[in-house]
Amino acid sequence: MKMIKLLPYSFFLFASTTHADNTKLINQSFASDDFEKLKLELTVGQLDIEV
Amino acid sequence: MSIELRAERSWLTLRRRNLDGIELSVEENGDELYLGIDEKKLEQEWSLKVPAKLAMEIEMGVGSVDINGLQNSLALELGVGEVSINTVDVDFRTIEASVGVGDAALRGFGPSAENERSFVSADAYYEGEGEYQIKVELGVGEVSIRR
Repeated sequence: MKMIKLLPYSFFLFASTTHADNTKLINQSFASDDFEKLKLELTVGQLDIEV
Repeated sequence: MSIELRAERSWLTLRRRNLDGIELSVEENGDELYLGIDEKKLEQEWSLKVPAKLAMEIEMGVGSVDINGLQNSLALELGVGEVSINTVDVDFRTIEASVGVGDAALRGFGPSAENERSFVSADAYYEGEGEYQIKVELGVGEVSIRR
């Protein structure tokens, strides 16, 4: 098979790997009895708080 | 509490960074609990359920903050973005919101709430009989605080 025929396949492979979402989920809970204040610091994103 | 992290794509390689090594920083300082992720080029979606007895201090660079059911003190600093706060039906000692470029509005706090706009900045202020304080400082964007 000529190399030229492999080009579309390599393009699709590249596109699928670069567009795959790289995500991580952190689930954590804390005992709040010992605390009076919560300090949060983050750079970019969305923060939803339900009291 | 749940946090979803999403790496931004690199302009050079179009690939996203590996997130395996990124962890939530947790520090306990007396009666204060600190949670943070100080990573750039990383979009974070935090979803928290917080007990009413906790006062909150929040520092954030860019994004949106949505707080529902607030009934304690809050100090919030945001560089660019939107802030929406819904309080429960309790009074506060003071509420201050200042926006460098954008809008700030207090709604539902009666005639003593003041919403002021100048050329590009906005300030909102309320003084009541309650115990707790809300202070929001925003560089660019909109702040809405409702009761």
